[in-house]
Amino acid sequence: MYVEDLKNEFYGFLAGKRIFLMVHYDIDSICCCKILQSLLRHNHILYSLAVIRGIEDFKTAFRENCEDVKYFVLINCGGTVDIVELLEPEEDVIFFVLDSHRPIDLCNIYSNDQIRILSPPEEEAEVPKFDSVFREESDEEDDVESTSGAGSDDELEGRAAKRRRLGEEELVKRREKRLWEDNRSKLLFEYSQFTYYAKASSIFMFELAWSLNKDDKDLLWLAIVALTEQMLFGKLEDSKYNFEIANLQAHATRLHNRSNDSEVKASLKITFEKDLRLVLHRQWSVDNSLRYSAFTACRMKLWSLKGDRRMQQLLAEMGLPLIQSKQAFSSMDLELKKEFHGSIEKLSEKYNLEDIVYPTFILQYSYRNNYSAADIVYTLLAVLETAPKSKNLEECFNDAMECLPRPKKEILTVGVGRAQTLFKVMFKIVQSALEMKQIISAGPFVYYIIQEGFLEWYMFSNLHVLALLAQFILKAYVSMSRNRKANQLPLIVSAPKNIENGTCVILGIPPLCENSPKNFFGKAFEKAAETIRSETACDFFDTSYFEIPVRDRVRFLDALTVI
Amino acid sequence: MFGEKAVELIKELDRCPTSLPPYNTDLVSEVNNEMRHLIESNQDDARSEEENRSLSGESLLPTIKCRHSAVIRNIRCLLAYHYNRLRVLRTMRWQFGGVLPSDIKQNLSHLEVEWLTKYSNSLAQYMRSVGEEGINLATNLKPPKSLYIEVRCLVNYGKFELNNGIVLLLKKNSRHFLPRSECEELIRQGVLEHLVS
Repeated sequence: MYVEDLKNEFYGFLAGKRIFLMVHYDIDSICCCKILQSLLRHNHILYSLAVIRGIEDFKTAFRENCEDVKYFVLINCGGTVDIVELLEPEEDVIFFVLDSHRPIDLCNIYSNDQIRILSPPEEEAEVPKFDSVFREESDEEDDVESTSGAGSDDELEGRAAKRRRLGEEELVKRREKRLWEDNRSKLLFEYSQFTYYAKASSIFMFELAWSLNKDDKDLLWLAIVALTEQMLFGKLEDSKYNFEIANLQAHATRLHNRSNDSEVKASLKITFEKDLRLVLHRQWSVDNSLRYSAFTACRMKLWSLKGDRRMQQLLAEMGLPLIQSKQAFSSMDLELKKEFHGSIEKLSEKYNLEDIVYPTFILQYSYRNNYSAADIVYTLLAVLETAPKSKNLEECFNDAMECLPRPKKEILTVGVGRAQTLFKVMFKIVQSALEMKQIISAGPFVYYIIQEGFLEWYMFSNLHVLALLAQFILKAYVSMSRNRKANQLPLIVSAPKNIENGTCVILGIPPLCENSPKNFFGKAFEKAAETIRSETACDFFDTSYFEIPVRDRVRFLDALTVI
Repeated sequence: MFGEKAVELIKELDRCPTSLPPYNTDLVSEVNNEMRHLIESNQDDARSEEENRSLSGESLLPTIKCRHSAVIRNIRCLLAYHYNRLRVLRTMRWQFGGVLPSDIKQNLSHLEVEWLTKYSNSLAQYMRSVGEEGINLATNLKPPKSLYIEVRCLVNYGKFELNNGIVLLLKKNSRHFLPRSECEELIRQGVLEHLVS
């Protein structure tokens, strides 16, 4: 069931009740949760909060708390699974689901009262009609009876008798039913074949805050970070990004005008600006940032000697001395720093760097700290997913929570450092993959396997880091490949997940030419796993990730080629 | 010079206005001795003045007056010293509750300890007498900013029941938004951590 009026049916409904928040372990969820927390605080609504990483966590958290709490709010989790079947909740437990994963399970959509979906259905997603998916119970019972396998003799006799009684009418009915079933499976397949993401949950939550007149710049920044995250990890199309960013810009102007002048100087300020697609360049040196950004690396083929020379040439043409380019951006000469954006933009065409600029927001917090939304996203990603093994996930989650909306210097510095290492490692992986020709073409797709024991491999067992790497590899592969059809090939990456259990995580991303983040690998993975009868324990809400034992990997990939 | 040591005491107070340095027994007794000495010499001089008043034109009266004002000044300094110590002690009593940390207790003189017990007793008596069941005046010396706070659980504590009957599971690393009054005790025990945003 979709909730139409968030203000009354969700926020108003929760007043005075105790609720339980389940927050998925990603940046959008954290932002969304922060916005929701501030709303709940305004209304003195008691809540407890748990971090959910996968379906297992989801079940445990529910089991532990189902006796005490009746209202659950799920942020970016649970929408894609049949909640009622999975958790078997009591009749009076109510779930509010705000999930940007798509497609949403049909049972959740058509649940009468227990499951309430907060995000409105997208226009382009065609949700099958209720009648075409569900039928009266009695029919199904009939169906079960008539199709159930061999039973006792009595039963057989009964069935035989029944069959005799079948009149013509019955036959017509059966035929109708078969047609209906065919239609149903077709519809279901069409509905669920793609895995994709809808609008970020944080933006919905921010709009709710706005309609309650409780929005401020902190909350806006959270929404911006969530949107940027979706863009950077390839979860939404460029057109949608531009649409949403315009939307948020209107909010930014409105909130900026609302605050008075004295406040502006000391507190945070959000400005809409054009920024370069260079990772962390405000926190790094120009040289490093140019080299390790996926965008520039792929466009200029920086992993080769020739590419390296091109980069030097670019720097020379920009009039940036090598010494300056190698030192921290913040301590570069003021003149050069000011000119940097402009001069790189001017030369972008010559060096095949078109659309290096993109619209985004910059956060100014107090006098000296400037962060672009992308910097914050990368830093948070590093905080969340590249922490050394000794640090458990809850601590990372806490760090990330503290870092938003106002960045905390200490955590941020550590995060930036780790993000820099991450980008260096990714670049090295791509470089070696290309040089050693480890990206293997398997007919309908290409794949790459991160070996155990590779430099810092443990980072890549985390989902978003893996996604970032996959995109980098695919872009690099397409830019290097002689095959003209390279940009029509999807990519599968695999990284070790759990060494003790010997499992690995597999991620598929759609080909570059598709230009849409809709991912068809979920169904394919399921099918392949079925064909090779591998024991899979898929714990992810995003079905484009899959987990299989390492020893089955080769067979799994073979099975995929056949499909 | 007279009164120098007493000023030393005052200076000591001035140096640490909010904390309690050890009770300066030596200096206090030295000031006492000085005063006794002054009073004795005053008494002697007064007696000889009485006897010799008619004999010579010289008078000891100015000397006596000078000594006397030194005595009065010493007394004022001593009073100030003790009074201010008590004042610090009283604020500490409100801050820390009935039981003071041991390192502060060591710095008290036995008279101060006695005063503290008496003060605590009267305070407790008063708090019991207000209202039907008494009221704890020592909580919330400043009005809290909000009635509810966000906390994070640091250990696996198990189930915890609030006053209004709500049961919640305190599991390590879970976060909760709870009434301040109910979690204060747990925060002090180190079960919960207050998250300031």
